[in-house]
Amino acid sequence: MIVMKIGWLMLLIELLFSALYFGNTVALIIGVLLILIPVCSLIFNLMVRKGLEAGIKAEPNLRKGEAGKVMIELDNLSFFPVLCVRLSLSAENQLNRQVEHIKVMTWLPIRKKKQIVVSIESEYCGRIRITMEQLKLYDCFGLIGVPCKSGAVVHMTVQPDTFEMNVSLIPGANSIEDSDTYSQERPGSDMTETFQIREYVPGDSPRQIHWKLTNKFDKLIVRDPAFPITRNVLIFWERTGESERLETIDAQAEVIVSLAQGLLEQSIQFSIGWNDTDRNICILHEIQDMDQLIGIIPRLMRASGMKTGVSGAGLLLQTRPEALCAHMVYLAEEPQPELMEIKKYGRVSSLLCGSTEVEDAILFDADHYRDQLSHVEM
Amino acid sequence: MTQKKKTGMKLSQEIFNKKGNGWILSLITVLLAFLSVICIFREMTGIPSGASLGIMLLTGICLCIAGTYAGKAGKTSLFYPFILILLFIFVLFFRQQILAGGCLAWNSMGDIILSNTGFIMPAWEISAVTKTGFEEWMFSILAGALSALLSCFMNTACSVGLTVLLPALLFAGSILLNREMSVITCLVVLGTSLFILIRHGGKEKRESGAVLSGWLHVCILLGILLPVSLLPGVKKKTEEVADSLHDRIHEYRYETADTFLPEGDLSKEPVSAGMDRTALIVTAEVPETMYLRGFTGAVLKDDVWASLDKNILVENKDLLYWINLNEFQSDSQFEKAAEAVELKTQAVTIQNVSACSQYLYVPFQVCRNTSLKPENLNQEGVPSDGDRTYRMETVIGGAGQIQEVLKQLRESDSAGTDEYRKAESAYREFIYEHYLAVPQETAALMEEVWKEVASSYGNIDQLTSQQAQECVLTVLKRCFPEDGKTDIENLPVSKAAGTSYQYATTAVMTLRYFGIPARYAEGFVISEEMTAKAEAGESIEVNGSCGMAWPEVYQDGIGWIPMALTPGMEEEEQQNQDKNAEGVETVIKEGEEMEEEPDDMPDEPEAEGGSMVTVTRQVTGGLLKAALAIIFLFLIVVLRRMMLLKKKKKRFADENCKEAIGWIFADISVLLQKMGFDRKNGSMETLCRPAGEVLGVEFEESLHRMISLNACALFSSKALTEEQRKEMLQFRESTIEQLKAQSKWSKRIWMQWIQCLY
Repeated sequence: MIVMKIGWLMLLIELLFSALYFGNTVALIIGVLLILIPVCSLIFNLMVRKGLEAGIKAEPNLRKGEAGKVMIELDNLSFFPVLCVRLSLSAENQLNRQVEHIKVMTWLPIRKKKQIVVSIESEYCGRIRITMEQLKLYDCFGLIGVPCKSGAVVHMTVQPDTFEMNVSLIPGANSIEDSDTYSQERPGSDMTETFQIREYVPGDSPRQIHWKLTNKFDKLIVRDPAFPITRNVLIFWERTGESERLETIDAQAEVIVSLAQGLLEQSIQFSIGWNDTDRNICILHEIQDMDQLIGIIPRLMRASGMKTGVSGAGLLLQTRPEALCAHMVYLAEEPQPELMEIKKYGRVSSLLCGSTEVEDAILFDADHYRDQLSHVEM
Repeated sequence: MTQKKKTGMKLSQEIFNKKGNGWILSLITVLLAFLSVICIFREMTGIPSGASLGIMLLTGICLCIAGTYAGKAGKTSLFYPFILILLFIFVLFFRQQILAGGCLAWNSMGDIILSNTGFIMPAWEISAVTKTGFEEWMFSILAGALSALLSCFMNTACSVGLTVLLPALLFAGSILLNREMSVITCLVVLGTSLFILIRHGGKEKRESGAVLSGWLHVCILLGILLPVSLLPGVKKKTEEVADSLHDRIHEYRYETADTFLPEGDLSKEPVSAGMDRTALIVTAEVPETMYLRGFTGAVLKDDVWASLDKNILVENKDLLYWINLNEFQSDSQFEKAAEAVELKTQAVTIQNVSACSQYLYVPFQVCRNTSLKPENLNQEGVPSDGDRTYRMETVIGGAGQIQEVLKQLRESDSAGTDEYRKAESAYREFIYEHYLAVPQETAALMEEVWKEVASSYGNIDQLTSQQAQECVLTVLKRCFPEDGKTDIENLPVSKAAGTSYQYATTAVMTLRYFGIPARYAEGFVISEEMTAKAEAGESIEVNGSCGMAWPEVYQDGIGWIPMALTPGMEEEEQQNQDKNAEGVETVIKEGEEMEEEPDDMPDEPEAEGGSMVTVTRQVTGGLLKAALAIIFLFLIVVLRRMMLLKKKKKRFADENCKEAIGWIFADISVLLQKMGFDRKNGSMETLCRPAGEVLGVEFEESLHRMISLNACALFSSKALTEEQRKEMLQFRESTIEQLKAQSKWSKRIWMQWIQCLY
């Protein structure tokens, strides 16, 4: 842009010199043109800007490393063309607070709609907020810009890549593991409740044979035990004490979603929570199935962290003590002092990816977390 | 330099026209740029034309297309070297023809520059130009190719640069030619600049629609505005502004508030302000009467004196150049003529206080050693670069020695005088041809008086020189009588009525009418009265009242002399000066003795310049050949280095690590040898200690390790790893760094390019 302005200025000087020194009328005319075009364009652009509509559309979800499309739609409703439209688009990953900008240039014919496609790709997961920051109408030399209404916003979520995480919940000595709900989808080992009644197939345990019904129907009938559903788990993501390393944030996001997925596979219902570092509140959601988990991911993916401030653990203790469960998973980069307090309420499994070592904590790092956390006992 | 922080996010505008019209726009731009360069080239040189122009365009267009396509395919790094090599081979094969074509272009450009500026450029001798114009074709191919390459390169590298460069070329050409270029050329070049500038904005984002719409709007506006430029009023007004600006620049550069001489422009009333101020301070060892002329005019048009039409100079350029080569200088002609008389000279210092400093104020008896420019035939008056203080040598008593000089010139048979006579004869012919013209409007005013005076002597065509001179004096006496009451109503330059400017103009026209070559001169006169009061070496203050115009007559043999100093004229002319516009009574004596031309004077000057041109041509040809040889040598050196390094690299990357390590170590030992660590017939281990002393312990340890590694590579059955190869390569790199640090730049160049060590 600046190069163009310098080029314009130098050309104008040359033309004026030629017109004045040699009396060159062609140079004079082109010099006049060089001034006239920006002035006329300015007038036209001032008229056009009222009749210009701008909007953005984007795909809601994106996989990591894959390119997605952001559509910028410009509609010129006026009777004048715009020789040059420049707009600035910013994309902010709300999880790791990283921002990228792009400047887009186009032109607009009279009473026509124009669509510009911007490709977006992210190596890290997170919710991306795409904003049209600036929209200016220029002449063809890019000299005088007329600002237009902008501020259109669109969001897209770069989904975290999950990995298989085998989670074994070890009952705590003091915790109450009784459950009054059982899975409707899979059999379990709780002989006190029946999952289903069916015909015997070789391999079934003799203990499962339902003698009464066998006698009645005159063939071997077996009973599958039910699978009790545990809801006594809280996954809490500590967003305070973050080092702002993009890889670490990304790893934590993947771990928390994979962990949730692992628990759901075992029909363990749980609560998931994190601290909102901007508003200093604790956010908690109950997850009962996969749909709920998928629904919560966009919110999870904008849980931006902070290096210092009120800790999530502290907020949990102070504002949501009722959410504390027998099993708690504390995911953080750097554990906060209030963690010790939480441990008094139940069994806390700490998943840490920072440099601080804590007793009984499961440590992982951004490079090898998939291997390190493939099997977790809590 | 700050490095952009990686965010893990990538935003990019999708380009729809990857295979669309982006490259077509690029091609259009390159073609327009090429066309502009050709237009400027053609305007400057006048060639090519006809078939040559077609060949040039064809070559250029083909290369532009190829260049753009190469750019599209991302092969520009191959395209330019390839085309340059092709051109190099082409030049090698057709060097004679291209050189001859270049000479044609040069000479043609010389003619154009001469016709516009009066500046005489040395001509190139053209030995054999075929009638088919083959030389011009070959040169056109080369020029077209180079122009196209330049256009392609600039378009890729810096298109905004092209926007600025093209008009700059146009204006540089205009300044060189001292005129604006043709409308078509201006339109093509300036329009192209505008288009390229618009395209630059779109090129960044590859948005061809924006570019096309910008171009379209510019074309429409240009179509509306261009006819306006053709309106006579606009053209006239622009020229007036330009003229006014030129005047302002002239005033700023050369004039002061007290400058009043009109410099030949008698269309306005002469200024009288500043007449009482000091104009010049002249210091001479022997104070004497001097006519210090500044501006001189040859042609009177619309009451403005100007220099000769430049086309006349073009027609006579060979003659003028030949005269110039023979060290003939019209401004110092008297000194040259007086060589045989051995007159004394003196130093004169002039301090220009308030007069126009565009010219040096010099008397006719100025010596050649005064810094007069050799090409000074191109304009009237001795040009100056605004110098306000200068020193010159003049012949003492020049005015009183004219007869003696003429006599000696006739009688002397020295080689120098003989050469001078030849040159003067040729120059005199030129003067008689072009300094006798009387404009029609002046003739209409004066012809009646002239004829009336001439009729008393008989037929005007049969007047003797004596009679002609008498006629002149009679006419001037009638026009400017002593009592100031003239019966002639209309005299030339009526705005300057009653001034020396009118007198000088009338005298020049009358002299010319009667066949005596004359010119108009302006400057300052140091009179006898002023010199009488001054002591030797004392400064004489020449004030504005001494500023005037006077007629100068071409005195055969000795050149331009103020009419008042012509033998027998002193007294009357002095009266004229006193009265500022008085008649002339006495007779002008023409150098009749010089009518006889020397026998050995050539009929025409040597064609196409003299021996200096041939020497210049030979020198330039030699330089060109030397440059070609150097380029060829350079290419060979580069190719050789590339091949050797490639071979070395291949060895170092051998699949067999042992083999590769052996080669790398051998290379290291050569590098060490170059650093002064020569093992001769000994072991490499012997080098460790001296190398350690010079290059440090770390280097010594590394060298130890590398020697062991080399021993393993040569003698051990154990396989070596890729890491060990890398380690050896790293050691080689560090050795090279050490070698570079220890060597002078000349040695470094030698080792890098000739010995190809790295």
